Amino acid sequence: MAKSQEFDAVIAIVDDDPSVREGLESLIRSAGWRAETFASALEFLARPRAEPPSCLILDLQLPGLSGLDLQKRMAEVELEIPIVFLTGHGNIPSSVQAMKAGAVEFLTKPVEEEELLHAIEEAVERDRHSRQQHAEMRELRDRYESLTAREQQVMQQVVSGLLNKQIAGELNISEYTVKIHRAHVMSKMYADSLADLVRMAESLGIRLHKRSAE
Amino acid sequence: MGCVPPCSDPPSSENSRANKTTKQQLKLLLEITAELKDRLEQEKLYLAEAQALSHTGSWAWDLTGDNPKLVHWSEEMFRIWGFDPQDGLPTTAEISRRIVPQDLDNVKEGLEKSIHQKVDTCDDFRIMLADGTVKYLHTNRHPVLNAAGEVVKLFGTSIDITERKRNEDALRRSEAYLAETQKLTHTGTFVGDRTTAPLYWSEELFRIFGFDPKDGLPARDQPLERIHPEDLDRFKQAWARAVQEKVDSDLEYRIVLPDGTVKNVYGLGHPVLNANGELIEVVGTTVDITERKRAEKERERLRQLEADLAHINRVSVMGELAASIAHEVNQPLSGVVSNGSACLRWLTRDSPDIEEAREAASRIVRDGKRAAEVIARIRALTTRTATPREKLDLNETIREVLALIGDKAKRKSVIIQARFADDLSPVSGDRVQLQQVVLNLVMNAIEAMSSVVERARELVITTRDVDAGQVQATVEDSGIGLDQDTIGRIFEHFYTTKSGGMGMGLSISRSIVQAHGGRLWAAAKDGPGTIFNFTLPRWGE
Repeated sequence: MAKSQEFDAVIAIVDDDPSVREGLESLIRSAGWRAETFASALEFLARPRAEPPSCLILDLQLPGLSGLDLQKRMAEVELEIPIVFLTGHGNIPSSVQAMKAGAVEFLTKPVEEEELLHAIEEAVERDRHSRQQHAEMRELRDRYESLTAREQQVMQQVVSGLLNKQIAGELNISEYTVKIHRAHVMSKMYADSLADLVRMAESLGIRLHKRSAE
Repeated sequence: MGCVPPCSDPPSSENSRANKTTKQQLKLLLEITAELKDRLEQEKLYLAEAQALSHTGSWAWDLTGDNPKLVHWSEEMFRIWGFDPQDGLPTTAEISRRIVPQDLDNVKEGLEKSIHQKVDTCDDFRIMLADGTVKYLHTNRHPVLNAAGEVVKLFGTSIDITERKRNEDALRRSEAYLAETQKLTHTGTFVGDRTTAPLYWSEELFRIFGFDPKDGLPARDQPLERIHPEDLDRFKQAWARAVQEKVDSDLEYRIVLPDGTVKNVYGLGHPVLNANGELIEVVGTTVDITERKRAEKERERLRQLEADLAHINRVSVMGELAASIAHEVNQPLSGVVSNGSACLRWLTRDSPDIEEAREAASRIVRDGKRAAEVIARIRALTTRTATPREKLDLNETIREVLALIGDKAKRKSVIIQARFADDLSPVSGDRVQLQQVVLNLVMNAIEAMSSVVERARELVITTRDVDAGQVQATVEDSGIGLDQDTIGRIFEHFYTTKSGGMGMGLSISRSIVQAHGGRLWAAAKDGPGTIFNFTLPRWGE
């Protein structure tokens, strides 16, 4: 069940009941993940960590800060951990609220082994995906940052669909110079084609250039 | 008191007189006279002794003159009436004054009857001495007639019967008291022979059996006929036991009066034996316990009713707690399921991890027991039968309640703080009933805080030893609080401030605490909220 590349994924369990906590911990470890346990939401927030866990198994009814409160608090500080909610009673309004706020799954105790492990897998997958996206984004941004100011200007106008000649006019430089900048942009951004560069610009949120009035 | 037979006339002194005047004769006469005088003195002395011993005085009136003249008033008369012999014979007026005014007419009537009708009379009357002492006298009067049949003297005796009168009064009083006591305690007395035939029945026994004392003692079978047919054999056996085994024998049985009234009575018979150990009679009491029985039944009914109400209260509180209880059972079950899954996984891996499997299995055992404990507590709290008083750790008793209520508190965002004294003295109590009290107080507290949003919903439970051999528990909330008027009424039956409340929780809780010899009361807090306190006697107090 656990893929080798997921072996190092850490699953956090937050539940104030030791029976539940210890049972889940053992089950999750037996499935090949690492597990961390917390008796309250505050304890979870207070624990210092290098890497956030890949999945959070969260009890809905926690003393003090509730599961939903924690979900909200995490969103506020942009802590993106896929959450699998557990509850003793199937509380529909709470489950709707939790799912709307992006929970992976909402399970009722005692939780079915397959259901739980499946939900964790999905959470871990989601986490892996989002970590990958984050990494790609970071890479893209690094590449973009490596462009000179002029190259960034040229890139913006290229992805906006301007011809080299038009760009030269806009920037009041020679068409040849535009070509040089353009080649630098393509190679620094590791863009294979113009279409590729346009996608990158979109990811980076670069605004399209508006041609100045002629 | 009957009259003493008429006394004989005093010996007449008009007798022989010597007319021979020889010296010798005179000497003899003188000797005889002296001897007679001695003898007479002696007789007078005996008579005086006899009068003093029998508290009897004698007197005589001479009626031949215009006015009656007292001619004899014995020494004992002086003592009885409190006159001093030195002062001479008392006058008629002095005597009359000593007679208690209410009795004077009676005395005069008797006197006149003896004089005019020439018959013996007697009277009981009271006299009062100068120092206020009251004496009862019994007087006999006897008219002495001359040859012509005229009354010439009135002779009589007066006996001081004060002592006897007092004894009689005391006896009469004690009889009256006894009768009164028998009436009050519905206790009749009987004496019967070996065949149950009545020899003596007290008035109250007549009343109990519905017989009229005026008809005399009932015949042997009459009382037996009034004994409930179902109880008659047992009655006869009990009587036979007293007669044959010569031991005290008691029995509760019923009697049925002619009008159909059924009475419950308790009879106790004691055999009275003679010196040879033979049975003379059976003496005993019969107590009408109908009323007591009825009261007992009524008390039992009330007790049952209270127990039923308490049960209803418990069950209804448990109903309110159903979701919370389900959660408290579900948590350990959830642990069991997860650990079970984990255990299997550890065992069926490519390289089975026995140690992990063992740990998971032992957690299954632990969690399973925990679920069973919760269920046992619920069962105890919903049971109808009373549990015996036992030595209890109040902290533990409260903790068990909190284990059922924890989830409800959590969902109501109530933080429960248990501030239990470490060395709390044990108490004596019925675990289930005391948990019911705590349950009611905690549920009320949670309810009282349900509308609180501007401050923490805090429930503090404190236990501690207090003076006078008591243990005190306090349940304090930060809820809406109670005004003085409400605090005065919350322990009344059916008083409630809750829309869905029965108004029984607190009154039942107070009954329970009081039955344990403790107190339950409420107090307003300085800040928002209410404090409920209850005390219980320490174990062994």
